Amino acid sequence: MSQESVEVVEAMGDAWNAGDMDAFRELLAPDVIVRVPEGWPEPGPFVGREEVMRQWERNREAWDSDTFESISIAEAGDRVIARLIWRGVGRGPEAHLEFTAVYTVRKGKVLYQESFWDHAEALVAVGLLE
Amino acid sequence: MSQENVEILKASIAAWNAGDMDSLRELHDPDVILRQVEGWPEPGPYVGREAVMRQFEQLHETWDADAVIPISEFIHTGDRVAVRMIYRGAGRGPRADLEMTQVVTVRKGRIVCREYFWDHSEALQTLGLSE
Repeated sequence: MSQESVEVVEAMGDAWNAGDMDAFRELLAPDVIVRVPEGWPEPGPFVGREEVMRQWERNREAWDSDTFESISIAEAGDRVIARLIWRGVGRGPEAHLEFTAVYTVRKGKVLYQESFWDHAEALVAVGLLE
Repeated sequence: MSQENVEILKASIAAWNAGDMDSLRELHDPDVILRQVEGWPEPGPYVGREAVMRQFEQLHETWDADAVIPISEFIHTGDRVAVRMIYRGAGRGPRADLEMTQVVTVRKGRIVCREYFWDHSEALQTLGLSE
């Protein structure tokens, strides 16, 4: 189950980087909830697949192109911890945001995502670090 | 930290059983999420302490008396704690005895997520454990 959960998260990254938002949407549970990192301009939380997709599409529209790069990925129970860099280019200064996303995956879909600026804080949250 | 999280869950059960909704509220983070057991009449999810407390109060008001009775040990891993429980409601119509497992996520001394499962093994799997 855990390796499958990792594959779901990796597939999300692939779909995002390919600009395939339909495939990305399909990897979200209908009642998904997303919490963005502390201090994010639109703090959320975002509840439900359509609201989450609207938020992600707004984020994408801020750039001519953007990508996610995975630095590391680990699993704990039904959760996947991905340390990511989000790069956005094309309007104003290039954005380069490093954060850690914790995904809860159930039945092949993401049910919950929360994000942390501090990787150690994310690891503590899921019990991988005391 | 995990044992502290167990104590938070025990305190929330004690507050529920005492009808002390103010103490119960204080144990929840302002951004708490509640996911009900599959097939629950009001499925949610509920987001935010006030929405969650309204749901709890509605449930309380359904019965003349109700109680949460833990029937397993408290299992903790990372920031989550699970316990098998019976939710018992009595006083209006047939008595309800609902057996389920609750999994709570605790951060900084407050519950940030509550989930309920009919199937104990499914709940344990979310923690990366098996029966």
